[in-house]
Amino acid sequence: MDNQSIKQSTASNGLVDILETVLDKGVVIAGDIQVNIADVELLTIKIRLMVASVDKAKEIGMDWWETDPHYSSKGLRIQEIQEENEELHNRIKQLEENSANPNNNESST
Amino acid sequence: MILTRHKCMQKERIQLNELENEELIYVYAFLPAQEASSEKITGIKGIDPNNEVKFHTRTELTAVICKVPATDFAEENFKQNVENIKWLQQRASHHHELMNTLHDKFTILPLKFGTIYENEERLEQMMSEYYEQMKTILEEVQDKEEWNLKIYSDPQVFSKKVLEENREIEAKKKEISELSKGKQFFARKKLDQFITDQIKAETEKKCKEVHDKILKFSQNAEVKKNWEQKVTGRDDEMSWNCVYLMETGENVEAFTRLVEEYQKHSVEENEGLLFESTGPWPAYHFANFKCLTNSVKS
Repeated sequence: MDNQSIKQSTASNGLVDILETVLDKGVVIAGDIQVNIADVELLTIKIRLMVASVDKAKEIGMDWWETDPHYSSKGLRIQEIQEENEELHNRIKQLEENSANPNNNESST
Repeated sequence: MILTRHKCMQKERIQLNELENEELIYVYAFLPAQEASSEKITGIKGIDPNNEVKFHTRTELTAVICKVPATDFAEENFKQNVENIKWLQQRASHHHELMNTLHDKFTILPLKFGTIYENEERLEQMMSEYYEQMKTILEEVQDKEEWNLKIYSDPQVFSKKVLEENREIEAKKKEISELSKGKQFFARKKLDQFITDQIKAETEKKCKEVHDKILKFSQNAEVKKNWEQKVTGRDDEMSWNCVYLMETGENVEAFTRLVEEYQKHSVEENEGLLFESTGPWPAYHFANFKCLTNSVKS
């Protein structure tokens, strides 16, 4: 039963657990540089939304960035293939026309 | 006009160059110098991958540090960087993992993520200023570790329990249905609030019972804020969030056993409680200067 197992993690604590511990605690000693990232709750929501939106996007087929050359190298490759494909099509069309032409010429004479 | 603009650009460039060459000091933790001299740390990549983690000793204290470029860690740049979750995630994880390594080997006073000094003089100044307090904290956290316990409660189980134990609620509901429409609205609201309060009191009572038992074998505790559901993203409610400072060994074993027993009991009796503990953590919450005077053991 899942309920009976108690979650106990050590080195591989979840990101949220880590952030809660390394960010959200009282000031020990102030450093020279002050950056306040104490709002772990807001950060947690942000992380959850980020993770959720990636999964959700894939689920509903909104993973367009994977094929968009601007966002992924995989997309760049796809674009290259598409261009190559188009070029080959043109080339075949040209060859077909060329090979059809002599026949045309023959029949006309 | 053109001349002044040119001058401005030159000035900007100098500032950028200054930042590029400038190094700051990122501090992870402090430890007793005698422990630092017995074991060396070498070849560990720091929070800036181009620099290694080093010891910086001054009299009886040793700081665990890493040189970092100002281009990443100067106040404004650092502020921008932490907005980037990926950047923050990598650095915070590194901070956490290195701290675990240190905690395995030494007695440490772990610092919060992002404690940075401008130069060695500033670091040393601070080390001598807080020397006595740091020494006291190091003695307090020696051979101890931190554990976090979160208890989640199932609101349905608890509301059922509250309704069963408060027979008058049923009668009250009937009473309300006989009132005029306008009066019904407010009376119902009042009753709902009563039920919510009862549920909260009931879960708190349960959690407090567990907490009091844990206090018997922990040296310090800090009760933290419960996270709202929009933060946890869970269907159940966080009803308890607390960190405990415990001696490594027997105390921790007793804690683990106790939590396991409570979990087992909750499942068997359908009490609607879910226990989640994480640890061992270095004593992050107890390496706090404010902790020195007020122990939470009440």
